[in-house]
Amino acid sequence: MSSFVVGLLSVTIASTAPLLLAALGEVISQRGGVINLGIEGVMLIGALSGFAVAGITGSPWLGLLTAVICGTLFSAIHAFLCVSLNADQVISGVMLSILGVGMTTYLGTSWVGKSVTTFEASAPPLVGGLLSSIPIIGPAFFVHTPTAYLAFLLAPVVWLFLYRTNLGLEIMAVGEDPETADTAGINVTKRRYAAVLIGGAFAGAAGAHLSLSLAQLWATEMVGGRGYIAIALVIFVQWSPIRAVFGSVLFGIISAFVIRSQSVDFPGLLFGWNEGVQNALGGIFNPTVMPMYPYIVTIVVLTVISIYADRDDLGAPAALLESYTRSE
Amino acid sequence: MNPIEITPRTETPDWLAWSSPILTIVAALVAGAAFLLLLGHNPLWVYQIMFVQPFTSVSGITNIILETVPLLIISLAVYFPLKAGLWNIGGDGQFYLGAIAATWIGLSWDVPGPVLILSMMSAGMFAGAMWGLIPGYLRAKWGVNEIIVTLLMTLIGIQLNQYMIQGPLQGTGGYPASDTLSAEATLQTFGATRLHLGVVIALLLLAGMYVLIKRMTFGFQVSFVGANPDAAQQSGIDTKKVIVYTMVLGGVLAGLAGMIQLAADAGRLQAGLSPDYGFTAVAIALLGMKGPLRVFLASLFFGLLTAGAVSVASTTPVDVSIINIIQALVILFILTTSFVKANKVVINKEVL
Amino acid sequence: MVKEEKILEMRSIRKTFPGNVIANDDVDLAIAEGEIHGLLGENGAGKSTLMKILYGLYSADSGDICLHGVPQDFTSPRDAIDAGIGMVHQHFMLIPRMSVLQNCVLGRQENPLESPRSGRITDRFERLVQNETVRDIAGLLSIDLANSKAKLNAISDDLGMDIDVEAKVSTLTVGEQQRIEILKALYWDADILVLDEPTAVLSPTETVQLFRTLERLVDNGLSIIIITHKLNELTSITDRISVLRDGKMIDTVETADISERDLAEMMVGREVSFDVVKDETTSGRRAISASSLHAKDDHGFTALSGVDIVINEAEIVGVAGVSGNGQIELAECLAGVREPQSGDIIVQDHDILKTPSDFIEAGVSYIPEDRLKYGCAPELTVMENLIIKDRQEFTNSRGVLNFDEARAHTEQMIQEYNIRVPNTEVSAENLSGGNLQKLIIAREIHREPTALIACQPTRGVDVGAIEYIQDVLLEQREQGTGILLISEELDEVIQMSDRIVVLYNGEIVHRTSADEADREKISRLMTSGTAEESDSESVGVAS
Repeated sequence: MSSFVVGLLSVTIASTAPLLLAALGEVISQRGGVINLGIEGVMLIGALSGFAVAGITGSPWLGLLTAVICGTLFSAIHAFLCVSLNADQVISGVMLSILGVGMTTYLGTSWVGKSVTTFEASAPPLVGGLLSSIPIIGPAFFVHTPTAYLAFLLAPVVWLFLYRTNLGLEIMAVGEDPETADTAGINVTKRRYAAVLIGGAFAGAAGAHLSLSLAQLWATEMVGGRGYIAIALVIFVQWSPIRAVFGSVLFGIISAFVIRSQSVDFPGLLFGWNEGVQNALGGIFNPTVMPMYPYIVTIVVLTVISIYADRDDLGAPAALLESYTRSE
Repeated sequence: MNPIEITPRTETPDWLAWSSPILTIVAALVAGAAFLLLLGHNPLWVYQIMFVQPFTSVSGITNIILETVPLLIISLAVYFPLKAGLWNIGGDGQFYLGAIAATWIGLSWDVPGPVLILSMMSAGMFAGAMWGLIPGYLRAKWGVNEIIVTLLMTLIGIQLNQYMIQGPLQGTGGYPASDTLSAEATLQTFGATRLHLGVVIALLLLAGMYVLIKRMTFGFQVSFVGANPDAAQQSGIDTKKVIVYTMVLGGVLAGLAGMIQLAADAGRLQAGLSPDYGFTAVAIALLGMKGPLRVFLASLFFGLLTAGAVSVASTTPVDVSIINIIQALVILFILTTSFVKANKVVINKEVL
Repeated sequence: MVKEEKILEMRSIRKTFPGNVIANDDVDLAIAEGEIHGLLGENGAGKSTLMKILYGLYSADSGDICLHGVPQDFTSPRDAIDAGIGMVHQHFMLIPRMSVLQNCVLGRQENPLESPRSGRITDRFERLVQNETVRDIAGLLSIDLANSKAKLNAISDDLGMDIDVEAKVSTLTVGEQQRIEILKALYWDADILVLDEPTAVLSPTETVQLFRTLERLVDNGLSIIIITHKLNELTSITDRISVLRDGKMIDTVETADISERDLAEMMVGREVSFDVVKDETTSGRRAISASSLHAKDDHGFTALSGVDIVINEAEIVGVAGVSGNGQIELAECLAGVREPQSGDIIVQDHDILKTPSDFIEAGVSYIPEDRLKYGCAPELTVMENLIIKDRQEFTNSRGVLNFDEARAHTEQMIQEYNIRVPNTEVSAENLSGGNLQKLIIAREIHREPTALIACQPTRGVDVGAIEYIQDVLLEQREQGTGILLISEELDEVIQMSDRIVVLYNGEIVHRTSADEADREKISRLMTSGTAEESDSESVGVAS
């Protein structure tokens, strides 16, 4: 039982990381007023480019760096369309996802089935030895790949960025009220580009985690919808980087259950419990049913926000989805 | 003076207005060609196989028609709400719900052929309607953004399909798919061709949509709501009802498309029953904004694209995912053409 | 304390908008240092445009702006702000979700490297810190909140404002938010403060508080410009007043030397533009009426506070008033497109009406003020816009629209109402203002309505069309329709109406018949809510 728990917790953390990374990036992008429905495609680009470079150079770190750069460049398409051409953010995002799927499927055919030098799970430097020896919690939380640690470390960094730097403040301002920001002399275009590009960088890193840390392979469409989950996540946690940690862990648990329950006899664990309860729990924790939960709760959250739309503290950045042109 | 000067236009020149869909497609094909070239393929050769070859055989033409059928129906499912100013990104979700309901009826009811087929259609349409009702109601009642809700419901629908094929609807044999439908539950084909009843249905729906939008008062109301919801409200139109009705009808159409693909093409419920028809339909609806006829032509183009890509994949080293790339490029250029239609772009060579 | 020196001069400002609208016609404005200067004028007189030019939002076609005698070139609001001009907008430029502190520092890029406290760090890395790029990046990637907070608190204490700068703006009252706007302007070192219709959203108590704050600011050396159409408030606080009318600067006067009556005349004008000939009619029974009507506007502020009004058949009731006093909301409630907070609206003998559709069926027609936004769907054709309200008439039992009949009807309307269009398929947005208005009027009047609510029916319409529209309205009156006419042109109201009411601050402050109408009295009521001259000491509010 305890190894099941350790295994579950460990996989949870590892599964949470890509969601968290993508969500953090999308928080920044949406706070800037631009929704990027294309991060599914950006993550794929990151996953493939990271994998390929790791394969060619033998260094997963170079792979990670490449993934971040490629993610940024790919999302620049979205930034250009939405910010400079005032295109509909929804259409542009959907297009980006389709393009990402198409390009990575195409370019990645030669990388399917290959194995490259990937990230290894290890205890963090210095304190690692001590922390990882704590029973259960140790191996579950403190033996992970660098990209997983990166995800959790970046959450407070993103918070600091948004709330304790001028750049972050300006990005949030252009997402709330671009007219006010413009009047105060802020370059709305530049800040919105920054928000989208940073979001792309994070999504690229999330993709690299998938191919170099979690799955340690490349397969077509391996992001498997996580990009969309990340978007649902951002709405679910109300655009907060700190709450994104908890939200992605919640969604990550679901992912972990789905992965682990295929190799564990889940009903067997409940042997001896009341049959009705067993059936109910079996239904609720069914690995093909669980992936629906994040989407369902997000719809509920969205509805609640809309019902209480007049509360200023709830809800999306006020200028989200709106393109801005200065009225002369 | 700026190197690139952009001034908003007050009205679009006529030549630009009618030629823009063509320009869009040409631009996308050129960009696609560049991509192919970079990878060492001859784009003209590839395009010939993709766009010309299918017309050279009966089988090829049949493929084009069969690929167009689901695309056309789902595009209408996106087009109609779009006329009211609503985005239905939920085409795939409604499609799967329709297919699931139709599978259930098709496998469990023991009634004569035509009755069974009609029941499956009704089930498909009803399930799709429910899947369209939810985002429609949420939008009408509380203003919940239907873009996100329909997107999420598509993802739920795809997952629901996974659940069904691995669970309640799983067939014997242990594969993640349902049992194959009986001959009674399969849509009739015409003579020796592979063309099935779905073709007729698709054309009827196209004609029906045309009449609805262009001739019926309700269609007129829908157009008015899409053009100016405030003025529509003040003119006594019940905009909430319009929102709900259009989204429900969208769901009905997409659900029916699901049933058709199930009963005519696949023969059983399985993963990937819809290769992202719902997203392609968005591009088609955008190209066909001006009317159902244009939607039809755009669907044909993408049907050709899909059929052609299959040939390309089997006869050249080019992967079938080239379709997705071209699809995405079409959408990308729709967006840029849109900008050019609304703004005059002048490049000042002297400054550069 | 007013000094002799002119801190700001705007000379020969000219600004024209497309459609040959001359918003500012050679306007001169001079502000003395340390004074409170009022800028008075009706809606459309050009005061907002003038201030937007001063603020860098618009650029003037010709003319210049000088501060302390030095010519300025503002290409953006930031230029004006940096030059010391602070503006408190009518719709506040504040981000509700952010704190007061965040709102004030936004855009200034407060850099910790620049603050006095960073001494120790800067000494150590002196060479690095001298580099401008390093400073810029440091500015972007950090924020000096501590210093800014201290400065903000100091300013706010100095003014006697009790503000928690960490509070989110959304938690503050309207009056407090306005003070934040002022605080923000001071934080940005404004020498001149421009307030645009500041009392429009304030209660009487808050207005008093605001004026006390302004007086304190002037004691501290600021110069203030107040833009308003509320006469009585200006006379109580300003040193001098400049009056704009129809894009021209009429005069600048010392507040102490002029009466409210004269100001009202200057503001509203005496010219009689048209001679309207009206036949005698006897008005019949009630067409539409409202009692105890309370309503809010789009921003959630109270627009109507207990309005009673009756419009009978075969009469025109004119509503005089300066734009922004509740006219639009009154029209929208009577037309059924805005739901009042409370109050009853009765059309003849009909039951309670709820939806726009109910009102339309009960025979209420509506000509909205904003034609493009509410009156039509600009992308759709003339025919489609014409038949939208009466669509059922052209629909058969199966729901099919009979386009031939609709087209014939449209062509007939085009003839009858003299609408200049090449055919029925032209898009509504391509029509001139006058023709679009005729289209809307044709649609609304053809139905032979019981009641017609007409909001600014002749605004923005060329002279020839104005006469035509007025004739059409009078004809409807003769045919028995009860008409509510809202117009900013006082002369139009007086000449067209049988009875006149004056709307001020959401209340009806005066009722009279057209014969007994006293033009001057009405002018004063429109601009200050009371017919009597008010004391220069007190702040008069509607009685």
